[in-house]
Amino acid sequence: MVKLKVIGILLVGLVLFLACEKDDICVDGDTPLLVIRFYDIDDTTALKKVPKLRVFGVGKDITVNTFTDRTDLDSINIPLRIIENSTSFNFVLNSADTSSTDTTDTGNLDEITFNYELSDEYVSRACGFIATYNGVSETLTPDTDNWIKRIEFITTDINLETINTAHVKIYH
Amino acid sequence: MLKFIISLLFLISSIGFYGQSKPIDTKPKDTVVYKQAYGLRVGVDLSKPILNFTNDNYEGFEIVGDYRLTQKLFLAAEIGNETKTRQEEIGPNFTETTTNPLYNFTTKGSYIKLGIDYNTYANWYGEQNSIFIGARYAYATFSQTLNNYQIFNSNNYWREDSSFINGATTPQEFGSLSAHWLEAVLGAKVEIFSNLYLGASVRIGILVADKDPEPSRFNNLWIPGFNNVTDNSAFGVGYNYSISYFIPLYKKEKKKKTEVEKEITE
Repeated sequence: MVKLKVIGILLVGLVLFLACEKDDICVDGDTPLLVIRFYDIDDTTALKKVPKLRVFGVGKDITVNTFTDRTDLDSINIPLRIIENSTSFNFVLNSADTSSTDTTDTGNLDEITFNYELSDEYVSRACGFIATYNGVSETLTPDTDNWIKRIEFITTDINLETINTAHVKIYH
Repeated sequence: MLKFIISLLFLISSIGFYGQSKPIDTKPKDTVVYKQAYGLRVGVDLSKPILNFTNDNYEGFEIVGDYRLTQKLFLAAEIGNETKTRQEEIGPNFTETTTNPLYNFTTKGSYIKLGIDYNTYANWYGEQNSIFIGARYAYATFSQTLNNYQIFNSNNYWREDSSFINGATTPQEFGSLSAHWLEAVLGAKVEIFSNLYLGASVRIGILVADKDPEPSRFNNLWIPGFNNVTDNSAFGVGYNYSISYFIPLYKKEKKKKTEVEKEITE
């Protein structure tokens, strides 16, 4: 029965054909991180590194996982919360432990709260939906010695279009 | 007809010439002309009821039909209705648990495919089988319901990955969606009993146009009759296994054979 063989070949071919799924890996997008650039307050066009920068979320006992802790940086990406309309971070300048036994930070700690409207966006089959942040604003908690002098937004909408650009300028 | 009369005249004249009462035919010819049946073949796709039974997330049926136009050409059509629920899951690289759903959606709708099949199989005497290539124009009208979704966030600093954000568990329906596509078909139909056919086909569809849900909210990820829609590619694959019954409407001689026979008569 030649015809039965043909049907058999069709069947086997089909199984092989349908077995591969192409879009299993998400490469098209992700929930954007907040991109911050640090500038010199005296020369507002020049980037200025923050010495020994440490950033951790208020209420978290671990530092953010997006950059190496206590390094000198002029640009960082930090994750915002996706179920709350605000996220607070502690930015520590010259972060260091008091001694090898006392882990109290000797650096200058400033707290910034970012407020925003949450929304979401469909990306692709593999990635599904990501969060986007609209109308981002900030509140710098005043203390006796703020090392952060001024905060400026380049864009207040953080979404797929602005995922790779800087969003906030911090002058110090 | 004229030829027939002329040949008849020749025949009569030959009778007169030889003066015999009966022409002697040393090789009596088979006067039974083989006629092929033409008609309508209707059936159902066998794979879909099986999927209904084995897969909780699928419901569907398909009616298939073809009408024989000429020796090799058939008009062919499929009509179907399908409902499918799919869940996409997040890759194991990004979360602690591997079974986290990214989103879950249900597509529901009907489709019609119209076109032709061309039989490339030379049947032996009495056979009615076919190995065919075909082409279809297909149209589907459907709705998609996004049942729930989770926000994809590869950064788990805030450990919020496993929680659904507000409102994301309320199903959202995107209605009055449609799609047009062209299909290339390769298949076979075998007569297993008198007038009863078993068929199989594979199809490659190329999506010509589809109306997506409201921009940036969701995409057509699955289309009834077309199956999976792949990102950045217009191609879709499908198959069917059909059982169909042939309703003979009339019989017609095979064209070439009759001509050959006439030549012999002459």
